Amino acid sequence: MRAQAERLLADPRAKRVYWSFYRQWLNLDRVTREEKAVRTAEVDASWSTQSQASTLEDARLLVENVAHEGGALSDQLTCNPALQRTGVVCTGGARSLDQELGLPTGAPGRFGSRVYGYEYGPNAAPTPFSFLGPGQAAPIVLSLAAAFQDLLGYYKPPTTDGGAPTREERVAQLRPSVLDLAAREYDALAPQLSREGRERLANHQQLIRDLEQSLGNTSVANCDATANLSGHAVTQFMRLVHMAFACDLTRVATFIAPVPESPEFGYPADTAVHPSFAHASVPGATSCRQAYSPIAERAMTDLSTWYAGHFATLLRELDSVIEGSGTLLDRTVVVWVSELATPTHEHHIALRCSRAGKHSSTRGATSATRKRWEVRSPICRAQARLSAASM
Amino acid sequence: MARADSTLRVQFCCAPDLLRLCGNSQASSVVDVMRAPLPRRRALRPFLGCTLLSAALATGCYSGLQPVPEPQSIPGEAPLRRLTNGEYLNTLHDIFPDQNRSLPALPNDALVGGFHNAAESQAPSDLRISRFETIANLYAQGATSTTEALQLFVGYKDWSTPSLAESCATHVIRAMGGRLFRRPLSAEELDRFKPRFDRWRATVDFEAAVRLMLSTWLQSPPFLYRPEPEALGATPGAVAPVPPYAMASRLSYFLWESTPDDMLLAAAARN
Repeated sequence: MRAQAERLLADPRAKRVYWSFYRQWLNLDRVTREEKAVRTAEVDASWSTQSQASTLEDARLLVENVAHEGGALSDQLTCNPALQRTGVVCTGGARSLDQELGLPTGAPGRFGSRVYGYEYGPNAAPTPFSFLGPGQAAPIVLSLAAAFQDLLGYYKPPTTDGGAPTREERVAQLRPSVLDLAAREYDALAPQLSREGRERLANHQQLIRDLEQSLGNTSVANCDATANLSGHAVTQFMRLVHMAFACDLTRVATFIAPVPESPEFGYPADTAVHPSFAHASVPGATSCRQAYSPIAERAMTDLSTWYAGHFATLLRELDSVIEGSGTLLDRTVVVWVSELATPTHEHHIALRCSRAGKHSSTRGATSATRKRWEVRSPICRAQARLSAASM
Repeated sequence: MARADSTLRVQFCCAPDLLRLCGNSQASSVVDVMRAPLPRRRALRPFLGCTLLSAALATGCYSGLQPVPEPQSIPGEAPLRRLTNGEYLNTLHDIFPDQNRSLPALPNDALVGGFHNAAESQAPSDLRISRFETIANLYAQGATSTTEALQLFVGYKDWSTPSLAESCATHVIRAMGGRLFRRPLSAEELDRFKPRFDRWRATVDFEAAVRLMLSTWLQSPPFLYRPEPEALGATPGAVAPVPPYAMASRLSYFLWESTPDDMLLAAAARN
């Protein structure tokens, strides 16, 4: 009986039974009946034609993976293995694109992707954009001072008065010696461990060595490793990105912009973007019981203009650094992604993606990486375009 | 139907949630029989439990359940585990109770099966290593920021003369190194650390040497990981007893998510 049961289970036909069972058990067909809370004709069309089939297909692949390919249910539910595929919204099932790009462009003395700015939390749920690995959201560095420290650590600009270093400077100068001794400890321990343990330690040790080599790596032309704390907080971050790129401390950075207070883009202090303007900005929409208001539509347009102004600031910052026969902007691809697909409302289904700068110097990732991001969902499609453009 | 008694054991466990999931009176009565201690600390997938129950009901196997011997302990793998973020921060807090610091955020630990401590998910990243260094420097600086703080930390009052400094240095390396590594330092480790300590002391001063050594230890594998070295000459994959200090760490990180205290380390020293 056991042999027969195993034979039957090994047959491809058993997959149909599994899928049928799970489809019933989990009531998966309800996705074809579910309605979205925010209703517009565009949302409805997208949901019915794309998302339903895609969601069902995701579920089928999950069942197939668990039942027939040795996958564990816990892995699937926690995004441990990367199952990013067509139609799946990017939820951190793998390294995010910025981190993928940060790997080949990183080097000893140069960090991978860094994430700065503000937490993005629609509906009070923090929503990260950058993932170091499956389920590992990259922390956002929230303050400029912390971001500066994060990039430069104990770095102190060389003193120009020629005086003797202070005690604190002498301690800081011994930082490579500390890292060296710590790295040596990995060598000392490794022989006592299993192969897997040795591999893990070797990886850790290499990263320490990379950090050791990075110290004082700001002797690049055009590098002014100082923090300028004047102006709007967003402008300060734009200058930080300028500094990080000019000093070649990293080649990939993500900045998550804040939702500004209304007076910052010219509206009364007793209003706020989401409750006052967002839902009332689309003619014909009735979401959240808000009727269309031309003022709200105008406010959302002005909000987009506010964001565009800061985007332009970043472009100017990068364009101010002379590199070769051009500027830093000529060797950079800058992408502005906004959920405000039309200038007037948030539409996650038609992502706006603006690109600036040339991109000749971004070195490529592997074909496997490229394949992972060949996806159809709107958000991922934008990332796929970016990925293709960057390779 | 057989009833539960102290001698009845089956090879799997039904948790209360599973009883509700299965939710049928016949199953419940069977489950009464099957309620048994976990032979291993692993969660059973509910649907698997239900499947087994269903199979038992369908085949009438429940009536054939027989008392079986107490399950043998099943040796598991001992992968190299890094401290989770929670364990890491708890450990720092317990070793440096006087320091209440605002720290840069660490990258999230990956959740696997609902838990943060799956060894296979603990791959390092450049950001994590960078943060470990920053945090190590912050704590090392804090522990040595004033003479009083350093005296408290090292348990010595005076290192003003070369002989006192020499004695204090050896004490610091033995005591604090052992505290951070959760076991006594080996002679080889002392031979590695002491010359570097002396060099730093000569380059700056005694306080700076303690600070730099602390920073080193806080970035070293015996602190960041919980290595359980294989016995020399042991066959790979062979079953081996857990050494006393490793067992102390297992206990404290399992029950406290933090480093063993002095009492537990003393118990480990007594084997």
